[in-house]
Parts: sequence; C-alpha cells; structure tokens
Amino acid sequence: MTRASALKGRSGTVGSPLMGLLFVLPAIGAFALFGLWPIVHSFIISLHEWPGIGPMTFVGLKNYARMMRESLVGLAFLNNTIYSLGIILMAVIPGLILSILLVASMRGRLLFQTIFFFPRLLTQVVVALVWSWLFNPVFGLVNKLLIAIGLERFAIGWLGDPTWALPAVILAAAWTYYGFCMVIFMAALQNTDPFLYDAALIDGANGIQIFLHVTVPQIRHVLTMVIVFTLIDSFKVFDIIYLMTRGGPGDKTQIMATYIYREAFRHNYFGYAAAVSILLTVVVLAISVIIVRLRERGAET
Amino acid sequence: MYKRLLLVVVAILAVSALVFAGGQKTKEAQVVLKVWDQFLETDDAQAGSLKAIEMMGANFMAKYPGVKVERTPMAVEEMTNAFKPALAAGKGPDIAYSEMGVGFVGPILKAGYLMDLTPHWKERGWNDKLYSMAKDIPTLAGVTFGIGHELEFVPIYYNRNILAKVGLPTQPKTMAELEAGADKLLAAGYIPLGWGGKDWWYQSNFTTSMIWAFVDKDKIDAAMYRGASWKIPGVQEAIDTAFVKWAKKNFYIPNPTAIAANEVDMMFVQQKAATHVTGSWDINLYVTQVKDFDVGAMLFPPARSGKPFNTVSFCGSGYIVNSAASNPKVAIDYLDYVMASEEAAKIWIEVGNKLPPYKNKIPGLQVNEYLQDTLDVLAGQEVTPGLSMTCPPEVMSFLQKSAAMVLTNQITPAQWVEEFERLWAKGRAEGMTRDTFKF
Repeated sequence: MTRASALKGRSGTVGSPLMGLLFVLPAIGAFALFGLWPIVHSFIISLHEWPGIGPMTFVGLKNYARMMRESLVGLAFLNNTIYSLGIILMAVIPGLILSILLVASMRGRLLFQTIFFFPRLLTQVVVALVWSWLFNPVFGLVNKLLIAIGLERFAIGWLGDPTWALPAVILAAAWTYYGFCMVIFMAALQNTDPFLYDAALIDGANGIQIFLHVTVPQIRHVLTMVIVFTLIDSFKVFDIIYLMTRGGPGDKTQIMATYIYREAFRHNYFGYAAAVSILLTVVVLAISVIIVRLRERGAET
Repeated sequence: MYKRLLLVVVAILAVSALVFAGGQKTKEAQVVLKVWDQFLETDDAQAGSLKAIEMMGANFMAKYPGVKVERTPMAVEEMTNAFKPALAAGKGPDIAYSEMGVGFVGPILKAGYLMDLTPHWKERGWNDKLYSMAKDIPTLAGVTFGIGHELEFVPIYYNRNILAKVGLPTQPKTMAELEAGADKLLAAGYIPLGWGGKDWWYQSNFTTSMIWAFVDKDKIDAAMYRGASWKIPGVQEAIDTAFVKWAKKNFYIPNPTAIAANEVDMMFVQQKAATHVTGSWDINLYVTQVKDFDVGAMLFPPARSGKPFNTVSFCGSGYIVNSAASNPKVAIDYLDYVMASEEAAKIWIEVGNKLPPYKNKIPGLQVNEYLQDTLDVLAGQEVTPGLSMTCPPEVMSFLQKSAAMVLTNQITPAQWVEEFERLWAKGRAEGMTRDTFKF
C-alpha cells in the first residue's frame, strides 16, 4: 500500500492533515489576529499605566487592586445586571409570547412579523434620538400622553431622573430587541412536534400548561441561546446608554462599557480601563458557561 | 475581434497612464497640509465658522499656490478619541484644532508629538499681535504648544423685550438683585433662567460661573495655579445657591436634569425663558433663529456688593502642530495667516461670529450686534479662564455631572466640595494641573 492510497478517503480523494490545516489556517489566523491578540494585548496593557500615547509603565496588578476599591465598578456592574434582566423581561419574554401568537395560523402574520421586526433594522443612533425625543420633558410624547390621560404627576424628566433614567433606556433598547427574539423563537416553534400539542389537549391541559410543559421544553435550547446572547449583548451595550444619558444623571446609568470608555478616553487611564475590560470579559464568559451548564443539567434530569 | 479588443484595452491603459502621470506630477509639485478641525457642516453652531475657515483656506492657497490645505472636520469627541492613535501610528494631521485642556494635550505633549511653538511666538510676532490668554492656555511647563482660539465668555444672554416688560434692570449688580429679578420673572409667567443640566458643558460652565461669582479672584487663582485648597468661603455657597436654592425656587426649566442644550435654545427662542445661560459661542443661534425680539448680554453679578464682576472665559479650542508635520514651515505659515493676520481676524469676526485672539484694531470691522454687545459689557471687566481650561481630567468629569448630582440629591453641596478638593489633589499628584505638569 502506498502512502497516497493509505491517505485516500472514502470518496477516493487524497487528503492529509497538513492540507486540512492549510485550509483552516486563514480562519485561525483571522481569529488569532482580530480575536485572540486584542484580548492578550488588553491584558498586557492592564498590567501597565499608560495614558494612551507614549511609553507604558509596568505596575503589575495595581490596576486590578484599584478596581476592587472603586465603588463605581460595582455600580456599573449592577446597572449592567439590571439592564440585562430588563431586556429579558421586556424583550425576550414578549418576543416569545408574540412568536407563539404569530405561529398559530393567522391572517396578516407576515405583515405583523415585519412590523415587529422593523425596529431591529434601525441604527442605535436613530433609536437613541427618537426615544430621547419621546422622553423629552418639554415636548416628548410620553409626557404629553400621561398628561392627556390625567397622570400628570408621572410626567417627569425621565432621562434626568436618578430612578427612572435606566428603566427608560432599557425600554428603548428592548424595543429594538423583542422583534429579533420573536423571529428566532418563531423558527424554533416551527420545529416543534404537533403531536405533543394534540396529546396535551387530549389530556386536558390548558394554555399555560401547554406552554410550560410542551412548548418550553421543546425550545429550551433556543431559549438558552437567546438568553445567553441577550446577556452577552447587554453586558457590552454602550451606544444607546451613551447617546441617551452618557451615564447620567451623575453616574446613575453608568454601565461597564461607558465607565471603561470614560476611564480610558477622558481620564487617560488606559491600563485601568483595560483591567476593567478583562473583568467584564471574564464575567460574561462565566455567566454564559454557568447558564449552559445549568441547562445541560436540567436536560439530563 | 480580439485585435480590436486589444487595441481598446491598450488605449484605455495609455490614457490612464497619462492621466495618472499628470496627476502625479501635480501631486509632487504640491505640498499637502493636513488639518483636522471641528467645523462640521452638520453643526449649526459652527455654520459661520465653517464658512470662515473655508474662505481662509482659499485665501491661504491663493497666497501659497504650491500648498493644498486638506481639511478633515470631525466632532470634538471624535477628535479626542482619534488623535492619539493617529499620532502614534504616524498618520496624524500636520495641524489639529482641538481642545487645549491639560488632560488631553498633556500626555501628547509629554510623548513628544507636539511641536514647541515658543520660538515661533517670538519670531512671528504673535506675542504682540495676540492676546496673552491665547498663549497662556496652551502653555505647560514653559512650553507653548499651540495658539488658543475662539475667545469665549459666559455672560447671561437675555430677552430685552421680556426684561423691559417686567421692568427689570439689564445688569443686576449683585446676586440678590438677580434673584429678585428672577422672582419677578417667575411671577410674570416666565422661566427666569434658561438653563438645563443634561449636557455636560452646561453643567461645568454654570458651576464655574457661580463659583466665580461667589469667590474672590485671588483665591481662585491660588487654587487653580498654585495648589491652594478649594475649601474656601464661597464655593459651597455657590453650589448650594445654584443647585439647591434656585432649583427649589423653580428658576430653571422644569426637570432641569433632563433638559439638553436644544431644549434650552428652544425655550429661549420661543420666549418662554427670559434668559439664556450659555456662552458667546451661541451667538450664531441668535443670528439665525431669533427674529421676534432683541437679545442683550449681562454679566453674572457678584455674590456681594463691592466684589468685582468676574466672567468665565475660555479659549474654546486652539491649533496645535504635529512635531512630525510633513512641512513645518508651511504649517506655521498657515497658523500665522489664520490666527495672526488682520485679514483672517476680520473673517473670523464678520463671517464666523467668533472672536480670534487677534488684538490689534481692525479698520472697517463690522461686528455682529450680539458679539458687539458682549464685548461692550465685558469692556474693562475682569475675566478668568474657566475651570475646564485648567482642571485635571477627573475634575472635568466631575464638573460635567455634579450639578445633576446635587439637583437630584445624590450629593450635598458640602460633599460636592469634598469630592472636588479630593479629585483636584489627585490630579495634582498625577501632574495633571498647570502647576504640577512636567516632562
């Protein structure tokens, strides 16, 4: 047997590990250059003091120690968590409900699908601008509506209120996200087993029982995926917060990304900002792993 | 057929080569001066400045035929983010029109990326032609690295018609008089102080104006330039007056922490707010938007009788030169024309509605009425550079958010002073103040 014949696959073509490596090398190279290296370089920067230009000064873990002392890091992390939970409540769950409603035979399904998905097509700049106008205390529609229905005492300066600024921004962000969730869930629902629904109906299950015990188990993989992506997206949000409130009033809507941006580009603490970004990366990874593991454990039981 | 095709291809290639060669020849003969500035088409406040800089660019190129001025306009924030990496990568402009704060330029200057213009100030006669503030602001540790521009002031602009209707003086002499006037305006159904605390510059500028009104200038100078404490009489009172007392009295546009510059402008133009607590950079707004009433300027009155008026001033931005500029002489020639020539100064004022640092008298100058009014009220009065010109970067961030924090009871005025002092001391320790910066 020749080497070539030993290497022939079932299709009869000659292959080798080297050839396979050559094919994946560009992808590995791109990932290493644009994915891995920036993380490694960020970690290197995090061990230095650096104002963004000129030489770096090695300081070891000083930036990480500083991070542990800064109360704003905890506040920003908390705000990100609230933001994530808010998006899940105001986008993922409504998206799931809408997808169930639309998957059922219904006239105008395509039209409604398009309408609900439309906000997803808008850029974050446009969304931030439009919602800033809606929440504007002088001419915004939200306050005008509240006044019109006799709820004048709720017509506040939303984006300048320390309690309501973050929920207002979450609402704006959720508005662009629920349509995306809806489309994903619709695709998942179309792969569910209709016989299971028939069986449940025969057994006398009501709508909620069918949803909890038939629908959700069948789409749990997709649900997990959407929640994980939502969490990852929520922890790296920047533009809508920056455009609508810049982290204000005070630091009430400060999130990790806006905090990192300010520390790097306004305060010249690039090393410290890199340390906080490493923390953010670790946290997001950890959350994602935990959720996937919990789901897998739930599937086993 | 193939021969014809070949002939066509050869012809196209030949023509392209000729055009390219011609272009190359033109390029080689021309010096390209790359300038980054902030004069955007999309920014209404800069409309006049854009026209002015384009005129000056054309004039400069007419005077220097071998030079092409290539402008790249960008927003201030974009410039702040892009400038350092561009310089570090060797792709920076020859000249940039940027903010002059020590937090931004300090690291760039330390890293050796900015040209020392000190000898040029002398050689080109800028020391005689330009106001000293245009040199003082862009000077750190004895090195003058730029030319400050857009001399700006923070008076209180007001609706002359409304004040006349309510019977108020056009220049209150003390804070108590201003407050009494505000009470009358409120009773007459107007918003006394057109101010909003959402945008960062509104917060920092108004805070500075109030501190300047309450604190003696010598104590301000000692704290800003010589390391003295900011825990001085007047600072806490200024914060308390502006963001507790006046807020409770409803002197501002309702929900001030949610009110941005656009809304403030709108309330003033629509004659709902009697005053416009902004700076002279907004004069363009009055020129373009105010049709139904007359606008005047008054100074922030001092907190007590006998204390001199002290108005916040800025060099809005300024020109700095890349130490690796491709043609340093051309870069300096450009600055000399744009900043220190009578012709350019006239264009800045008449077309740009901006005050350049050029101090010589300009014959036949036609000054916009609002700008003239501002200059008239300021004539002979004390001006002091605002905190944003001199403070460390973390203090700047604090100034940009702390008015809203006091307004929403997140901190008290006493806590404001403590934090301000702490951050200023931190900035000094890090060499980010004018008195501690060193190479």
